[in-house]
Amino acid sequence: MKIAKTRKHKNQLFKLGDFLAIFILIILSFIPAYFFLQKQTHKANENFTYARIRVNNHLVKTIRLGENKHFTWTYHSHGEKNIVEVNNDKIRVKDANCKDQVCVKQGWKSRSGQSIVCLPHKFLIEIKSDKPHTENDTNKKDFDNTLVNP
Amino acid sequence: MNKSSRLKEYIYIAILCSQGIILGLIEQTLPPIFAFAPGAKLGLANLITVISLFTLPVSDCILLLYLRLVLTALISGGASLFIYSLAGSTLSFIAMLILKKCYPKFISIIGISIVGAACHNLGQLLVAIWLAQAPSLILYLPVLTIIGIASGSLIGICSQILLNHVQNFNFINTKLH
Repeated sequence: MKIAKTRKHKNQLFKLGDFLAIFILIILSFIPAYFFLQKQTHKANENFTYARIRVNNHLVKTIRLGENKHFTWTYHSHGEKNIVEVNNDKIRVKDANCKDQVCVKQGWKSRSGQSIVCLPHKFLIEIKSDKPHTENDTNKKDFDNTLVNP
Repeated sequence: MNKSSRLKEYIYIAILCSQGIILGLIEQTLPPIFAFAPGAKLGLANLITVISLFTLPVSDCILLLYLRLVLTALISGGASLFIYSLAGSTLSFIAMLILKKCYPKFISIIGISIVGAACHNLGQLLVAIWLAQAPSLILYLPVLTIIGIASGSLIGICSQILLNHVQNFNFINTKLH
């Protein structure tokens, strides 16, 4: 009789709904944080990686990387020929008619700061990335350049 | 309802209100218990709101709640504190009022108090986000909710024990629940 009474009292103290409420509250509290973090990482991935192709130190073409596209682009002038292949976020020289073929052997590049060089053609691919937050830094650099080369 | 019982009810509201103010002031003088989480409070004054919710009609509960809030703000002197506690208390009161419909079949006083504490923290956090214009503060919500669950269950157990005694007063309308 006594045991039954205490058990009844326990049932009064905590009910099923309480645990359900605690569980739902914990789940609900994590949902906005989850969405917020997902948005943040999405933003971080959008740091505009692009490849600059220069020949003889003149900018010929800029290709944006990481756009889920697969294509080739051919550069030729005065019998010099380089075929550039882009696969989503990677870039390589697929074929070239230079004599040492170093550019072809360098293979796929995808990270910012990497480069592919073809010395006989003076052909250069450099991968760069623009983070949206570094706008001030680039402005500063431009300012410095104007000071050095007025 | 005759005059004398109405007067008793007003006195009861006044006693609850003064107790709430004292509890709120005591809480402000206490050292921060959750030092790693600024803004998380014990919520002792929520005890009064829970008790009033179970012993008074809704209109008197609202009167008591805002009376307590305004007086606490005037005594302790904090305009920003008043905005925070206004948002938190209103949200928590609405949540507790809705959950009281499930009482006592499905949920106990402790559950209602837990939801109230968590909603109080949520309301305060929303105001903080609005005032500081910093949406990244929402990452802080899980911490506040877990602390709210802990303090809410403490307050819930306290009010469960207190209500057993309060119900013995003859002027309280026991038909409320």
